[in-house]
Amino acid sequence: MESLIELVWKYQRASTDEERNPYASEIVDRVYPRLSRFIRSRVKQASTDDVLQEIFKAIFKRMSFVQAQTSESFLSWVYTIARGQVAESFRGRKTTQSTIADPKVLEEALAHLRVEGGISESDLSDLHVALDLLKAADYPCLGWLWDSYVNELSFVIMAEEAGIKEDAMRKRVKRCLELAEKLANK
Amino acid sequence: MPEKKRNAEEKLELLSQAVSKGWAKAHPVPEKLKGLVKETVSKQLQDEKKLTEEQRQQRVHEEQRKSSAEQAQQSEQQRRQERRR
Repeated sequence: MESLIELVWKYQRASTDEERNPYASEIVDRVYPRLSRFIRSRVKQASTDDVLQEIFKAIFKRMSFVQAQTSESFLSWVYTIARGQVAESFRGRKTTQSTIADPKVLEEALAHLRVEGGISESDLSDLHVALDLLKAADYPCLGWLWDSYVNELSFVIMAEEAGIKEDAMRKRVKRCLELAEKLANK
Repeated sequence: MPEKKRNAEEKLELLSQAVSKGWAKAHPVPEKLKGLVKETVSKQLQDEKKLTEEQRQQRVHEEQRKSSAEQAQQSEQQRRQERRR
């Protein structure tokens, strides 16, 4: 299977609609699930579709000119655009942007797997422990754990958003995990 | 085979994989979004065809500058928010 960055390069080299559309479609298929989860944790549910549309519009308007060397750096560029659109959606409102850790997101996703019988009893029990760990955490730790484990953001991307070094973010998440474990075991 | 005993981090990683799998099934790409992307790709291609090689290179540089500036602005905003908390 081609990597995300290979799809981006092929898209950039293509010179007709017919050539570009299959690559565009594959890029959307790969990016949409994680990006929609990220947006769901940044804006109110009612606005997610509108914000996602603006993000993808911006991505494909700028796609030909981005010079990413790896899938990770391409994703970093994508999340920069996404955060910009989120900020845009908050413009003029006196609200602080933060990670919305909505347990419904997890329940909804796990319910789909349960219906298909894709989870063993022991995995299910471990998943409940993981959920309890997240429930035990408080902000700002909850936000970082959520971004790392639910939104699947890399430490690089999380560090960029926070304006700190990758290693510092890795340590933050580790400390938060230890704290959540202590709180959950109380 | 005995079941694997997971530590807290591994349990969260399992949750991460399960959510990723379940979320993709529960939230397929909306048709409206697919249409919008197709439309944007087509319009963008028409615009790009009008660019000379020099203008194209200029757009590449502009994109680099724009993206770096956006990232710096977002980091600053985040730091301000953290200080306020």
